[in-house]
Amino acid sequence: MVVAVGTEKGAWFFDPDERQLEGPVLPGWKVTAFTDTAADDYLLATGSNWFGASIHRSPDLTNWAQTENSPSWPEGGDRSLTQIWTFARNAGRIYAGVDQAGLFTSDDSGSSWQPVDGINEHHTRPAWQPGFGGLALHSILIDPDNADRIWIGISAVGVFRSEDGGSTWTTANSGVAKAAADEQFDDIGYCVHKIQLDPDDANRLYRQDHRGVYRSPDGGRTWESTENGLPSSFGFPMVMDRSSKTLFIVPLTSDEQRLPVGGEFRVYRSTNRSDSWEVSGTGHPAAATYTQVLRGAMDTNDNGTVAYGTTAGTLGLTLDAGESWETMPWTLPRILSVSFLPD
Amino acid sequence: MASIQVRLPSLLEPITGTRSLTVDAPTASEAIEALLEAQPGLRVHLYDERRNLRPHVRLFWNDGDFAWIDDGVAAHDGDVLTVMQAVSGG
Repeated sequence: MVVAVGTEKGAWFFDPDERQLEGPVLPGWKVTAFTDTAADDYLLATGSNWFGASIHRSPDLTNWAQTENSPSWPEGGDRSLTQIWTFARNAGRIYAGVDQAGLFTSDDSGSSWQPVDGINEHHTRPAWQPGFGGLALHSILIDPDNADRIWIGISAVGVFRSEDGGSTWTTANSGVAKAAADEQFDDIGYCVHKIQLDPDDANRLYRQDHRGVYRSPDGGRTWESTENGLPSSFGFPMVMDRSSKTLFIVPLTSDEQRLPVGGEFRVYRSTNRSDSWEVSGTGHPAAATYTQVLRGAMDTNDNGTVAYGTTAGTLGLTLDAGESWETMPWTLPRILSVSFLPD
Repeated sequence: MASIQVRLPSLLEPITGTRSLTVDAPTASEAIEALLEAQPGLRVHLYDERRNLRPHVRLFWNDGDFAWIDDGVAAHDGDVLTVMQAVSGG
């Protein structure tokens, strides 16, 4: 596996065992998401403060060329595609989540993209309001045993669930504290930051929200707060390592400050399905460290290796499911995305 | 038909493979269309969904901002179309 690191100013890649850093790729461009494809190549998403978002393809992680098509909103309409936030892949289908909030699919390894109208034109859409980071559809989960079951998360709107492959969607936020109530629709206004599926039971979901940490026993229909042991309930990333069945999050003081509590940068983990949380192992920075991990900047190979990248451009790595952490020797630009890719 | 030199910022070089190319067009506005036809991957980077030039991108025709010239101005051999990104300092 290769760890792909997308930053504010290009992409870099490294092997978690050999620790050789390759890059930059596309220097100067924001790199916001990565995926591999069924065609045995790779896609990455770029953004820019000047030039808009697009997708690039590579056969080898070294040579990249912009694809002819990217997810897009209709010309002449009132929506803008400002960022491609995430990819999710299920066999031959790739999903892309974008800002302004939308879900797109590709069944030809990223050569063409189709909008998922069931969520993009959801009846609550006129009331969707952007969060601080935009109106971002940033999280996509697919039941590994039933591709018709999909969950997505949109900041400041909430989680939606589809049981029919994306044709229809229902909100899935009951029990979560609202970030901003809507006068027309009671079931939106939840600021989800990241969601994860349980490795053994796709009815169990976990959620880092603006207003807390939650889990659901019933596919997202209801949620309960699970913050035992946490120094703060606010944070962005959440990762589930499927081999060790361990959840990882990075708590921050508050939505106003967005700093590690007391300057102690710590990854927290739960090995009991969010019943309780603890500082994850050893190796965290010993000195005061006031940086954070963005929602797309932590990932796992699902075999005990977890990597995160910080807004200060540093990279952390564990090879043993969070027993011990190492800080990589490199300092990159602000890290936006981290993904494990097959090499 | 005139031969127009096009200059691109470095950030767009991964899209086009070059920072300099030549297009043939009879007018300034048609030079832009010729550029987008030669390099279709540029369109999404220069224009938004409403076909407006992105707010921090400027097109220059020789020494003048495209916004201030007549689209139909005739092109001449050696005219220069420059794509610029706004850069702030501090």
